[in-house]
Amino acid sequence: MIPAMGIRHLYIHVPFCPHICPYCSFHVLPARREGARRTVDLLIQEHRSIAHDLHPDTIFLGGGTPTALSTEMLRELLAQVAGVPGNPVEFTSECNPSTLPLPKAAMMLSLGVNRISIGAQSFDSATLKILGRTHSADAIRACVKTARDAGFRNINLDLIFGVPGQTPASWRQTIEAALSLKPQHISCYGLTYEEDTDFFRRHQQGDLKSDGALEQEMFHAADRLLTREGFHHYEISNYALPGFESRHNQSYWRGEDYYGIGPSAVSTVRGKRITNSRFDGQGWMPEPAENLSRDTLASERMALGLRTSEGVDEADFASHFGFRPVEKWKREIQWLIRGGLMSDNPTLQLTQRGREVADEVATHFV
Amino acid sequence: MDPAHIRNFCIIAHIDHGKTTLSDRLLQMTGTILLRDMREQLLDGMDLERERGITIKAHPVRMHYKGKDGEEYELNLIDTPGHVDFAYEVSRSLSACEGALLIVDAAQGVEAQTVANVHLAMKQKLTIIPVINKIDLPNADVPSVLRQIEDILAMPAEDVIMASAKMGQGIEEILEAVIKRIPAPRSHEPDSLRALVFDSMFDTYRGVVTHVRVFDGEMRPGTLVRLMRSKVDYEVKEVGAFNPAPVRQESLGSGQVGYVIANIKTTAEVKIGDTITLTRKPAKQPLPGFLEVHPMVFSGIYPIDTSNYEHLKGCMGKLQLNDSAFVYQAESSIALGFGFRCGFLGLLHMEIIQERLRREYQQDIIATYPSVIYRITKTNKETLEVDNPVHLPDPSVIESIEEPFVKAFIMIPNSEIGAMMALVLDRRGICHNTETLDNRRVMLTCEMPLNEILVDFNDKLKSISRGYGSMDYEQIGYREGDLVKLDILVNGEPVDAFSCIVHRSKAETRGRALALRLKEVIPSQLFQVAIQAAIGGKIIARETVKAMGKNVTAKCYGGDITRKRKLWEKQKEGKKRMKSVGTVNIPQEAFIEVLKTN
Repeated sequence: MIPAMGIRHLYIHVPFCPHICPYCSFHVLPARREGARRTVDLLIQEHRSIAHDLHPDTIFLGGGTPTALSTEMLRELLAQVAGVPGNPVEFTSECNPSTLPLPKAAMMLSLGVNRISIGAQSFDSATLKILGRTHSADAIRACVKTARDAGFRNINLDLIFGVPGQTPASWRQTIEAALSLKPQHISCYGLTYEEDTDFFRRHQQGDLKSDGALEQEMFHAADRLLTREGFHHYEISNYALPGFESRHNQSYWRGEDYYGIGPSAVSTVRGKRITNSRFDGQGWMPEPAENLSRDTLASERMALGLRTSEGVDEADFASHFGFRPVEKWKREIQWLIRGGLMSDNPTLQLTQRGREVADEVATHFV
Repeated sequence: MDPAHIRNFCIIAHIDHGKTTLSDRLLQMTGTILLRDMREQLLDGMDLERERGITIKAHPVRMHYKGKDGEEYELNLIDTPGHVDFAYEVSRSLSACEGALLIVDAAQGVEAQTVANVHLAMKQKLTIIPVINKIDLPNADVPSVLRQIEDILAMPAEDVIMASAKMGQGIEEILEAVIKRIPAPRSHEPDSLRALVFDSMFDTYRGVVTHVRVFDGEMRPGTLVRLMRSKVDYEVKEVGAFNPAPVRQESLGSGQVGYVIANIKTTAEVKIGDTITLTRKPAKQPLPGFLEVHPMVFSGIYPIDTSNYEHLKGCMGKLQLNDSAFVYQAESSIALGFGFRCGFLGLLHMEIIQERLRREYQQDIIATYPSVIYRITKTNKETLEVDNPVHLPDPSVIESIEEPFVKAFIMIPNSEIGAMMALVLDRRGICHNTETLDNRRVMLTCEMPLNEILVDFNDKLKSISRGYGSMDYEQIGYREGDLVKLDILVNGEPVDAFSCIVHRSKAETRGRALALRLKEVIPSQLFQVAIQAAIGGKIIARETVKAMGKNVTAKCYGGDITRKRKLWEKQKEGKKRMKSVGTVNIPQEAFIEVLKTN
């Protein structure tokens, strides 16, 4: 069999949310009908324009909240996406607990979506309130049930820790609550104060406080509770039951090429990285491409690959870049290994301590 | 010019008492410059000087004045550095003059710096014309300032001229006093040439421009001259005077002040205080008062980025071209790599050089804890001088250490005398005398180790006196002290840049404070950092910088990669601005904090 040509990973950005969260820095707009109509038309158009160079193994519909689109509009978009040849073994759509009625879920499944990622964040009402989320723990439970009733067998729950006011006990309860819903995948994100967010400003003003030691404790608690239940901590923020690792996200960490369509979406294709502009009410445009040198790609491969449990395979790395990591970063690697932050057996990867300071480690390879 | 019609004088004043405004007025009144050409503060050329209100480099200016007696006079105003760090330069400038204007602010009164400089001028037997300036100020207190001039400076009140340079009041009276009271220059050895070098500057196009006062004889282009101390001969290429721009002259004769250009390449060749004479017919005696200036304060200067070493060296060379009192030589530090040991005349001189390197030459530098010169006597009776704590011999072979002492004049408001004396005492000083200046100020005369005023004494003085205090000092020789070396170890390695020599009674407190302060300014790193203070190898304090907590981006997907990479690159750049000592990154700030911790 001749291997199919074309890019194997596709990201689609739907920039709408019913409600904008004060910590979120992604490109999101309040859901309005006219904007949504125009966006869906343009997404379909953009998808057509790259279809000839696409043969997706994985598709990720993210945002925003793709399910904030009406069932009809979402169907149009998915129909276009499903019409392109490929073998999407993993087709994820993000959703909010309150945006997934059963008919919508069933329609999505029928058009190829086979994985649902739910922005649960927390099962604790106080934490949800600080995060500005309007849903309840019961809504999360109902959402999981809907997805399952519709036929989804691969469900992810996104959780957040390190939220001001959150205690290690409440974090553990959130994890337990999530586990009781039997998802295949759980993402645990440490709260980040991203620039240009309300949270960032409040953090700067000292109104919201972060506590590194507490976050560290919660990071460890998640690892302990989830691995005990058979989850595999396969990336800093990601846990999955064996076989349910997100292939789409793994493709980023392995340095594979991907197309991204929609406002603010990023494509990395054949050494060029192109970022789309934001939606300005009319549409969006690709911004000037960033040419990625071999060295830049190699640096990214190290920084991202080290975040995963599969790590960076030296031989695989050498086959891509023409040199082995130790040839370029001998001193750094030796030092990090000696300091207990990294190991090189069988691949280069971070230790548990290394994962806590992965950004600091990354600075040694850029 | 007939020497009888020449007057050479300078101005003595405290910062902000109006020296510059008055100089400008004199230039204006004599038509040397026109009002519209007047840049504010004409004589202070360097930005840094203007900012600090001090003069580092003196430019002599020649003025022409027709006196009330109908005669034409040539007046040479020699500007003097205001700070006692430059005491030797001041003394040479003074000895180029026959008189001095003493400017005292009508509201501020006599200040410490004024006293020190008046003493210098008196030693040179200059005729002093006291002037009370700023009499237009609403808070002027002329009677009290008059009393201070009589009491502290021992000058008769009837000699004092009332002026307001700002309003143009009293300027003519000053000019008249200059021609009437200040004696005309006199020649002592008319057969030969004797010219005093009182300053020199480096000009990129013309080489070294030497400022001179001719005492005897005459000098013109083509004259073969000799520097009597350096014993080097040159041919004079050009002579002239500053008007205030340099103007060529046919000659410089007895009593005149001006500049000489010969093919002199660096200011180091022309020592301030040297005498220029004729090569063919040298004078019998050089002019008196020549001294080799020796730096009093030393500090290491290192590039933050070691690859900038050569560039920094170039910058130091350029600075030295214009400032022969600044000395430097290569040294290396275990912690900081390759850099320079630099010698300065005093604290202000040190600050100015460091500031110029940073600002004018855009050098990222680390300056180590300043040191004075210690005299060590070893148990085998061998003696040595040490200007860097690193070179202090092992305590077991030291018999005694001597340190330089200064006599400090401190002026402060009455109400703060208690706090000030406590500070002096804390700095191992002794107050010998307390003099009431007026109903609000006193002058303390103290003896203190120079080492104790090196870093933050002046800041403390300013804060105690809420900005009203002032201080000046002069060296009074060496005294034995119970001194020890305090070391700081980072993860077990001594960081020589943090070492200092301190009095035993203070070593432990200082060691603890330093370790604590460093703990606060050294950011947490991948691994824990131990900071220890040690006296003679014995650890007296320990602090730990905990290993970094969480530093990890939660989300790192397709859309995040470029942004995250840039963030990592930025963090890496940030680390480059730190100095890595072993495996520990120490920020620049830490080296500065060490100076502040007392």
